[in-house]
Amino acid sequence: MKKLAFLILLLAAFLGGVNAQGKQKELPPDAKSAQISIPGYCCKGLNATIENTLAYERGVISWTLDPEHKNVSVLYRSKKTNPDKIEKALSENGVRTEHYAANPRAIKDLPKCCQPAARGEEKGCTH
Amino acid sequence: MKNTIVQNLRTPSFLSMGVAVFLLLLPLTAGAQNDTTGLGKVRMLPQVRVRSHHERSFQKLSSVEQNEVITADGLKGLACCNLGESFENSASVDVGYSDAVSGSKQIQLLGLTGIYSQMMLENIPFLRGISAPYGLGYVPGQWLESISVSKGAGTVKNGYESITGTINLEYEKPHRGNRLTLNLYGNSDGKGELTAKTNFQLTDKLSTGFYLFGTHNFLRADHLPHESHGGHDGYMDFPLQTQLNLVNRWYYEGDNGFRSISLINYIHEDRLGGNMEFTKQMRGNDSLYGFGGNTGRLHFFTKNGLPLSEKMSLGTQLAASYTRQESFYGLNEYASHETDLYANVLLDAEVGIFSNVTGGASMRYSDIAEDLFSLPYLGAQPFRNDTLAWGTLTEVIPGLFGEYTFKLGTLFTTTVGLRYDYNSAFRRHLLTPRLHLRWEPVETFIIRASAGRGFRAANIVADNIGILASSRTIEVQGDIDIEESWNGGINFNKTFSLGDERKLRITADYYHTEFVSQLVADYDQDPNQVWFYNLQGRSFSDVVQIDFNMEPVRNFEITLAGKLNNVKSTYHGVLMDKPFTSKWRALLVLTYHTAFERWRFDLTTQLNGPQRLPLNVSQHNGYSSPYVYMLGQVTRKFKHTEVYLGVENITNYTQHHPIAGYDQPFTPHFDASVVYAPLMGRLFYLGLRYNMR
Repeated sequence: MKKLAFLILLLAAFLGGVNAQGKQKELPPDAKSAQISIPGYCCKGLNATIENTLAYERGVISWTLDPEHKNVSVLYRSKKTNPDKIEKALSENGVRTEHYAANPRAIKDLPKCCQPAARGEEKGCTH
Repeated sequence: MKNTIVQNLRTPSFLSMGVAVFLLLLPLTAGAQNDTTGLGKVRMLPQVRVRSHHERSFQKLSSVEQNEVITADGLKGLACCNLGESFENSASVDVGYSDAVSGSKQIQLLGLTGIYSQMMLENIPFLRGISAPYGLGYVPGQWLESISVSKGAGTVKNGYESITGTINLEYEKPHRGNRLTLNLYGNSDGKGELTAKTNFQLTDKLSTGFYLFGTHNFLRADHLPHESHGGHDGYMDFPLQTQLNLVNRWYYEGDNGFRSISLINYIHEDRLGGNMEFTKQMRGNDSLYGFGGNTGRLHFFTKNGLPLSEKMSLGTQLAASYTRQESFYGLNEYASHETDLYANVLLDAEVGIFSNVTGGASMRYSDIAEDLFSLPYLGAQPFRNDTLAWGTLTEVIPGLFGEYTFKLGTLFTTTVGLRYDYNSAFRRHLLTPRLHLRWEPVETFIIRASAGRGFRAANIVADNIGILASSRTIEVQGDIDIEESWNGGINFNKTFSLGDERKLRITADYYHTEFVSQLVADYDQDPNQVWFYNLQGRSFSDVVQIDFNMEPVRNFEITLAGKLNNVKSTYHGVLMDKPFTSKWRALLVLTYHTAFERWRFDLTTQLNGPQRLPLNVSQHNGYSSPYVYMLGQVTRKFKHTEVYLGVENITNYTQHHPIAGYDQPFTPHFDASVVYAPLMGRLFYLGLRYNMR
C-alpha cells in the first residue's frame, strides 16, 4: 500500500511538471500566419476534429479558431508547410474547407449534427 | 478575440516524460515476489473515460440495462492482443487461466464463469459450446470497435441464454473504418503479432473491409522459479501459439433505409505446450508431457434491416459457423466439432407516443460431437467416451418472443419481455420472462432494476477444459439436465459535475443469481476424480460492486472499484464456495494524457482476494492468498502513427508451482489445473500502429 501511495505522489509530481512548463517560446524566423476559411464549420462539435488535425500537422505553431466567421487563423513555419497543405489535412479529417471537399469516410466519424454541413448539403448544421 | 478559441502547441518537457517512465518502471525495483505460501489467482479489469469522443469506457446512461462500454480508444491503453486481455480495466469482468499448460483464458461475470454470460458479435450470439474454452483468443483486440458489458438478465430478443449478463462485441465497420490500419507488436517472451485492416468504399452505398490478424511465438519460455529443477520446472509458461485470423465484411446502405452488414471469418490456430523439450512427434507416448491443439473455424453472419414505415421496421439475423478442434493434454486426447445455424427475425413497431413493441421468431440448430479418450497410464484410469452423458448433442431450438417497452422521456423506462422456446435435446418447453426498469427521479441520478430467467445446455468437457490437464477421471452421475436459473439485480448511478466538463461518477450495483438446475463439477470428493451431477441443494451468487470514476484534474482520470463475491454451490450435500472465484477484488486505474493525447500513460493495479481451491493432489489446498497485479503503458501519438511501450505483471507475482507432479506427469500425482495466480512473470512489450484515413 505504501508503494501505491508513493506512485500516486509521483504521478502528482509529474502532473505538476507538465503544467509548470508553459513558457512562451520565441517565434522562429520563418513564422507566417494565414486565415483558412472553413465553410463546413457547424458548431463546437467540430472543434475537436479541427484541433486534433492542427495539433498533429507538421509546421503548425498555433491557431485561433473563429467560429462566428467560420475560419481559423494559423501560425505556421513556411519552411515546413503552407496553407494549402493545412487545408488539405483538415479536409482529410472531415472538415470541408474553401478549396477541398471533406473526406466522406471521415465525415462518418463527426458528430451527427455536423455531417450535413461537412458534406456541403443545403440544410447545413442540424443541431 | 471574442468567441475565438486560441490554441498554442506545447511539447511536454523530457523531464516530465522521464518522471513518467520512471513511474511505470518503479515497481520493477521492488523485486520479484513469489507466492510461496501456496495460493492465489485471478485477473481484473478497469474502466476509464476521457473527454468528448475520446472516451475509453463509459456507462450507457440512457440504456435500460446496466451497460458499460469499453471503446477502441480504451483498448489502446492495454496490450490487448485478444479479447481475453481486453478486460484488464473493468472491475465487472474477471479473467483467469483454465489450466497451466494450454494458455486458454476464461472470464467471469457476476462471479460465475463466462459460459453463463452470453457472448455476442454485433448482437448475434457466438462462441457457444465447444468454441467457448479458447474463444477469447479468437477475437483480436485490434479489430474491436467496442465491447459492451451488460450485467443481469438480457433482452429476450437474443435467446434464453444470458444468465449473468451479455457481452456484445462490435468489430470495425467497413464504411467508417480507416482505409488502412497496421499494428505490429512484439514482447520480451518472443511473441509477435501483426494486425492489418483495410476498408474500401466501392460505391456510395457499398463498402467492404478485409482484416487480418496473425500471431506467433518465436521462443519457448520457462521463467517460473522452481527450487528443485535447475531453477525452473521445465514446463513452458505458455504454449507456442500460431494463429491466422481473416475477416471479410460488407456493408450496404440503400436509399430506402435498407441496411445490410455481413461478415465471414476464418480462423486457424495451432498450440503446442507442456515440457520445454516436447515436440509434436512425442505425442501419444509417455516420455515427456506435452500439450497440443489445433482449431479451424469458419463463421458467417448477415444482418439486414428494412424500415417498413416511419414507425415500423423489420430485421433479420442469419448466422452459421463450423468449428473443429483437436487437442491432447499428455495422454488425454480430445477432439470435437460443432455446427451451428441460427436465424432470427424481428419486427419492431412504435405504438403511440410512449410505447414500443418488438416481436419475432428464432430458430437454432446446434450439433456438437465430441470424442474423448485417454491412453491407459500408470495407475490412472483411462477416460471412456461412454462415461460421458452423450457423445453428441444435437439441439433444435425454435422460439418465439415479444417485448414491450414503455418510455416516459428520460424519466422512466420499463421493458417487459417473454419468450418461448422448445429444446429438442432436452425435450423441454422453456419459458423465459425478463423485466427491466429504469428510473431517473432527478437528473444524473439513475436507478435500474432487472430480473429474469435463463437456461443453458451444459457441456461437460468444453465447460471444464482444465480437467484434461490433470490426472482426474471423469465420473458422471445420472442424466444431465438443462441448466436453469433466475437472476435479479439493482443498480444506482450518480454523476456529479466537477466543473470544466470534468465529472465524478459513482455506480453501485448488486446482483443475485439463483440456480434451479445446474451441472455441478465436484472436485472435492476425491483429488483424482471429478464428479458431474445435477445440482441437489442450493447454488447461488451474490455480487456487490462499487465504482468511482473521476477526473480530478483535467486529462487525469482515476477509476477505483471494489467488488465482493459470495458464490456458493452444493457439492455432495455440502454448501461450499465455488472454486477459483475471488472473494473480493479491488481495482485502481490511473490514466493521464497530455494535450491532444500526444502522450498517454496508463497504469492499472488489481488487487485479487482469496479463492477457494478444490481438493487436489498438490500442496495447494484451502484458500489462496491475495495478490497484486499491475500493468502499465506509455503511448506516443504522431500524425499517422502511434508507438506504445508497456509492462505486464509489473510486480512479477506468479503462482508457485502451478504444475503438481511436474516430474511424474503420467501418474495420479499430476495436476496442472489448479491455477489461481498469474503464470507469466513480468513482461515488456513494444508496438507500433499506423493508420491512414
